[in-house]
Amino acid sequence: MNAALRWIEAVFETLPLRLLEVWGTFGYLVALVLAVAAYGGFTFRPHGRWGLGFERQTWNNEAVLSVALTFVLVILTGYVGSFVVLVPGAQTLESLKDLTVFLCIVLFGRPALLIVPIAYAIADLIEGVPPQFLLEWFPGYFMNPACFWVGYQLFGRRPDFRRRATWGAYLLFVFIFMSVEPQLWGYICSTSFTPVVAYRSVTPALFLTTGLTWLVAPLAMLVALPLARRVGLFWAELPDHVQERRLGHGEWSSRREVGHGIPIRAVIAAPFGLLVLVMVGSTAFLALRSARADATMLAHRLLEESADELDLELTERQDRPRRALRRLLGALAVSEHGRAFILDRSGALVASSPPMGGRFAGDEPAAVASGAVAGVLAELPRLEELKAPLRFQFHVVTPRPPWRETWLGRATAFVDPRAASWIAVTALPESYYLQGHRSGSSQSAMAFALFLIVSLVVAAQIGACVTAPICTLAAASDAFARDDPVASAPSSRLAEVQILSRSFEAMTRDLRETHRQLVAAKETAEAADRVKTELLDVAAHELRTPLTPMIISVQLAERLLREGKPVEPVHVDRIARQVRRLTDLVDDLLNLTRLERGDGALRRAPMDLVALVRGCLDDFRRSSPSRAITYTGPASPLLLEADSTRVYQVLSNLLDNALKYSPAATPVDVVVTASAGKVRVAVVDRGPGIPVEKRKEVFVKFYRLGTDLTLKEPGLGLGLYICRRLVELHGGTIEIAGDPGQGCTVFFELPVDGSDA
Amino acid sequence: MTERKTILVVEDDRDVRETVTVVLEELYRVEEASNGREALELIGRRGLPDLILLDMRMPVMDGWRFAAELRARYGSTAPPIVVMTAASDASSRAAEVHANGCLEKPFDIDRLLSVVRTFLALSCPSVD
Repeated sequence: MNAALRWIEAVFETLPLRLLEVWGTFGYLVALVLAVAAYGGFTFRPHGRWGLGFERQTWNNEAVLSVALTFVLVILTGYVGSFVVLVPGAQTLESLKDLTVFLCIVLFGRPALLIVPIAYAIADLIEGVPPQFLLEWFPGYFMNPACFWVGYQLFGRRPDFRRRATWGAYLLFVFIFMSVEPQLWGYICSTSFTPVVAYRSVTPALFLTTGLTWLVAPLAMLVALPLARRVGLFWAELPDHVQERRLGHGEWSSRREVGHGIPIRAVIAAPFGLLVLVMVGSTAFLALRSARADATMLAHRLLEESADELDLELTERQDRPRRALRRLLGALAVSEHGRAFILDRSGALVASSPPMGGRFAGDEPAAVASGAVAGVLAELPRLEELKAPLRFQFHVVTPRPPWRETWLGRATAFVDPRAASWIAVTALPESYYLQGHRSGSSQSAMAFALFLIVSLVVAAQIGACVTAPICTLAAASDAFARDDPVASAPSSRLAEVQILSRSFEAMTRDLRETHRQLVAAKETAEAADRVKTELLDVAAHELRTPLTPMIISVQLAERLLREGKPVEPVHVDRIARQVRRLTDLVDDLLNLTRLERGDGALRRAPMDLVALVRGCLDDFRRSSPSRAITYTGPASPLLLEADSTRVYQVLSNLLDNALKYSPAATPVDVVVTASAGKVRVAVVDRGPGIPVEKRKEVFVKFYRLGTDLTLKEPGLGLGLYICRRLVELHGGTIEIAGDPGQGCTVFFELPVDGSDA
Repeated sequence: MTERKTILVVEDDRDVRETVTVVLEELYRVEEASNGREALELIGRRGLPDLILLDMRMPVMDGWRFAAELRARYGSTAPPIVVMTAASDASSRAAEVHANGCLEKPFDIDRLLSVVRTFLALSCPSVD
């Protein structure tokens, strides 16, 4: 590696410095344009084709995760790489960090691009780079990722190195990168490190490390791409992760949908991260400032003491040879860590302390001496005028490793008794007093990086505490909307979430109940509607049917009358029968309406049940003289409080049914009995009877035996319903008894005192 | 003198059946049945009539089943059927059993006779 670096340096040695400076300026300008494009949200490949366009990141969970992962990986690989020394005293394995940045930017895209500058700065702090260098390199922290961004642009959509096209794009990317990035750093370092060191040492070193990166990058990508795909962070395959818009076209490539807003985790994590970063920056700055103030104070005290000692020595022992002077300077306290010189009034070096053996970076003996002389002359060009001690600073730049050391110096004039006027210069490297601070800031940067990672993890966890129940609630809400019965609100220890869960559960409970009631009400209404429609249909049918025999009988009778013949009784009977049938139907309908409206109020009065039953039987015997209708019961009056009209109606209805549904040859019995506070009237026929399972249903409105249309008897199916309602209004009951096939017994019971239930 | 046409009246309501029979007997030979099954038995005993007047709602065997059964047994030799119905949608009832016509209740003597005449003429155009 050393040989490789020497060879690259030798190549750069052959190039004129002027050319290198031009190249560096060119690299800087190109990188500046790239940085503006990359961080300004531009793209040169909208929709994968050449052109100018805009890119917009969706800050979803994947993007936040990409930021965190990039940060951790860059810090980690930077730290590991700093322990691997490529060229002793010159170069560590920065290639590892560069490789990570390359992989992250190509695979994660914009989220990685945003965090890389911060990660770079913190990684450099950890490596021991002084904070003031960080400020000088600040633009480079953005331009450098912008150079990697070229790779993202060229082959970021398909970084698959099994494809030949990827290799072509990759080689183009490497060419652009190598002709911009190392030179860019040369340009940035040229002001602080001198152009010679910057272009002949920094740039070649970067050529070496990045060159190594590009040798292994395709292999690393072959491994990293499937990994990124597996964890679902490869930007090009995430739906709606990045929106693109070609310049001049108003439309973004995909519309932002609901659920693609900023995730709560990002909202919580971003301020955390920013706060830690501000803390890192401000702490490093303030610590450096106070450390420098301390160092300067201590250094000048030592420099002053040494100058005083020198003054004393020279006054006491005059006239000494140069070798003795050199020994004298070497014995000074300052010479242990710094240097001491004697200059004459023209600025020429009279004597110097021996070099201290390269203990510090930037301790080139000749460079320190010339730097010290230049530093004094820069402050005070005419040395003859020096009276009071002069404090000054100078920099010593070394090429290997590229380093710049600040020295603190003190120039004191003293007069030799032999009239030769000399100047004593004492100087100390700043790093002597700042060494502790530098290693301290490296360690604190590492601690800060750890804090940042921990705070991101904590923020993500806090976010999860809130987001998980919200997501569960959203899922429960969706499930509820789909009428999924398992929809349940999340349980959480957060008070607000508990409130939300409780109110969600209450809401779903209420909604379910309301929904159930609505469905039930709807079904009831529909059933009522069906019943009403059927009733109208049946009523129309039943009312029309008797009209035909009536019309025809009337026409026949008319014809007979016209012909002067007597009208046969059969016609008149038939007409009378139809009229009765119609009257019954209309009565039923009227009774129903009255009962339904609730104005079927009873007119109770004391009445004799026996007389009423007998009267009713007589009426039936008259209209059906062929039928045997018998009475069994007390002969004496049975008094009760009731509406006699209604009781008559009930009994006649039951008798009518009994006569209608039993064979003509069989008798119908009416049995009246009295028991404690109750009277019972039973109508017994010898017909087919009513099946046990139907004995309740027959009292329901519009019920007619046999749901099968074929079995339907004429009528509206209201008779027994009206009977039941009338009996119930009296506080009584009505039931059907009798063994099926043995005839039918319908009986009703009424309270004697008329006290209804 | 031509032989009188035979008309079968299938109707469960006694009064309707009797009045229709009284009117038609003056001109035709009338047979009565109070439901579909009786009608089929009657046809089995005495052969097919020239026209059938059919009520739809009847106990034991209703008009739908009777019509289906008649066509199944006698096919194209089955006589025309005229449906008598009190339902509000009489013509659709008639269509349900592929009846040739319908007689909406209530009807009077003139309407009854004209419908019967029309469909008898259709069934045997050579006669009358």
